[in-house]
Amino acid sequence: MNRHKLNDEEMSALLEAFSDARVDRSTGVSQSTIFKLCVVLVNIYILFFITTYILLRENLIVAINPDMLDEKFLTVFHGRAYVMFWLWAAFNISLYFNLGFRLVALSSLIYVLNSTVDSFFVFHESFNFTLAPYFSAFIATRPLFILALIVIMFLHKTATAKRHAADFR
Amino acid sequence: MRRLEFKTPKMTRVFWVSFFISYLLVLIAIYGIVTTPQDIFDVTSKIEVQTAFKLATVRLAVAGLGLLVYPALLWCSLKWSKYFVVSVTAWAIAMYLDDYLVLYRVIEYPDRGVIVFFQATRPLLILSLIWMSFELSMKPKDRR
Repeated sequence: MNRHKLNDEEMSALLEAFSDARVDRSTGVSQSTIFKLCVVLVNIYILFFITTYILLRENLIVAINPDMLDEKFLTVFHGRAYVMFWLWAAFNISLYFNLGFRLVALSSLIYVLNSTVDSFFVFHESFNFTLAPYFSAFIATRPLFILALIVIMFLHKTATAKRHAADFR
Repeated sequence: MRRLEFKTPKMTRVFWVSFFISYLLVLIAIYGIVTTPQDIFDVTSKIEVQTAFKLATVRLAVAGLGLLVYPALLWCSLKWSKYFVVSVTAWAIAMYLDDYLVLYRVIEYPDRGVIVFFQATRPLLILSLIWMSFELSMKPKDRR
């Protein structure tokens, strides 16, 4: 008669055979300090951007120049905050699960570059830095934000890269 | 130093159809911008139309450069053409989102046949780019 059930020794041998894979999945990938700093910077920038939009929209902080907050400008600000929110969510989720992070970071970078160029061509004639300090702060720190996204893309380590490094050693 | 080798990539028929559609639509857009009458910058013209025209000129100049670079990359290195197409796809989606979600009150595209046609077929352009991105990303290395 055939024996269908595995005994303890056979079960242990099976678990032993897949132990490497289990360890790889259970342990996280250790990222560099610069990478972590850049992630914090990106999170702070987006969080402040969305918070400023909500505070201005709800009239909880005083706009220095009320003309800046005309309907058109607020519509653009609303759209940017909306898209930024979803990119922010995708960015953090993909980072947490370490899944498709580079793709999300690349998409975020391209969106930010495109929105910077668009804003420049749309608002460069009507925008005054001294009359809109909140937005000026965001515009002035935008290159830093872009740089942080570029650094994040290049310094990010995937689980596959970690396995390759371990195999090489 | 490694020499550059030009090889025709082995891609599916759908990929080449997507390639052709992308080129055709971008060339139509460039034609639409180049042949727009200069009276668009008159004082009588709407400020939204002028802004859209300026923005489209800058975008299409970059897109025109992309049209020149892409075939060279595709025939030289599939790895770099993959990165290029993925970036261009993300850019095309970002522009589409920006136009319809963010800048819809600030810009207004000229009401010309060619430009209206391009606006209507923009989703098709994005779809073609997405197909090319997927095919270049998912293709096994030994079949390249």
